[in-house]
Amino acid sequence: MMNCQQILTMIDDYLDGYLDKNQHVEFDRHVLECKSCQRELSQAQHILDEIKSIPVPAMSPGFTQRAIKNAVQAQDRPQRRGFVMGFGSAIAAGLVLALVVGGLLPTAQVPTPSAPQVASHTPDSIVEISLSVEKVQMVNLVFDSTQAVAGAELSISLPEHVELSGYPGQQVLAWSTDLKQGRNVLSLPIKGLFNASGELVANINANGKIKAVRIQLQVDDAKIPHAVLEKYLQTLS
Amino acid sequence: MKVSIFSRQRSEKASFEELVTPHVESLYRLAYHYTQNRCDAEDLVQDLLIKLFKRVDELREVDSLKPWLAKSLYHLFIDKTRQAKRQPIDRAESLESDDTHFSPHAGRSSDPHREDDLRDIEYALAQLNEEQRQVIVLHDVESYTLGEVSLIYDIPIGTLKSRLHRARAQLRKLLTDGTF
Repeated sequence: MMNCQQILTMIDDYLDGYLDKNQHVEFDRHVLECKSCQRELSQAQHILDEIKSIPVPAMSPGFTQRAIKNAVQAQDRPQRRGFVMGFGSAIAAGLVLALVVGGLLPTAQVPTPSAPQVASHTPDSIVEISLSVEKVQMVNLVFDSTQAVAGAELSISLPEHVELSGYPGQQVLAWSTDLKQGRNVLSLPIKGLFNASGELVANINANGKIKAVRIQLQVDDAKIPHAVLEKYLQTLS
Repeated sequence: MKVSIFSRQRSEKASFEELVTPHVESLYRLAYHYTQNRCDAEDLVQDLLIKLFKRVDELREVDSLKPWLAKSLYHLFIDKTRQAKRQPIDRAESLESDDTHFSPHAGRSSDPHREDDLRDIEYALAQLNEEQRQVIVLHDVESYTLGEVSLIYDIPIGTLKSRLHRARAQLRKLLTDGTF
């Protein structure tokens, strides 16, 4: 016959169904005759029931489908963004980098490459773009190339204070792409994480020739990105 | 064949959807326990799914997907917590009020006595240490078996069982002493 002390140490296993058959019978027999252990068991059962029923707010409607769709789209994004360049001879001929800052777009939205504002600058100068914390803003890199190149390699290196939407925690992304002759656009949905300034570096390797493009990304909630762009465009005209 | 790329893409999506859909809600619930906020919980699950889609072939080979996914979610949460600590702003702050004590939620009782009981339980849970709270949440609240919890946290079952019993004993003490 089990004593009360033994019963008390077995209450959790009893409630979880971990006692073997003999222990279970012994436990039941004791509790049936012992008011004190009945109270302990009842109290433990009540608390466990309460714990099991701790509520969690429901997911937002359609979250499961939306999250799966976003996961698939995030995977496709670099390839679908179609993008970039035609080097080889383009480097020799002098690359023209155009830079476009669009309006704020939702994360999953694929931007159009034909955004209206296009500002050209030479590859050696550094352009500064203002972003906001926790907002996704499209930064389009537009490259002109004199001829198509298959299998050009592109890598994007991001400073710590921003991230590419859909690729949290990844500071470097690299992939291959075919370039077409003429204008090629790479749209990057960039989200500011905290106020700071740092360089985005895009490296393009076409037929063994490498070109780096640097863009200064300033995350500062005090600025309005679009206004900054317009001001920047005015200085070019 | 041009079509094959898209066929494979569709096939991967269908396969991924089939594998993860049954687990999204339980992942969200776990994420909510970790983050205590619906938006952050959904973000965490979203980020996990983005990472996992690239590993759909690996997912197909997993025998027990539920604890495997829970383990992945836990590791991602830890990574994000570390990242957040390195940042100069407090990203844990949320504009959405998800306070479970003072705002009505689906599934929350309208019975004031029951509401008091829940508040006491939640408060008592908050008094436990992190390890105890983890095992209570997974085993008692979310009904993971000790074997599954063992897989998730890489902790032997015997250790978890002792931890669970100590945690419950402490909860019982806190709740029956009526000290809060």
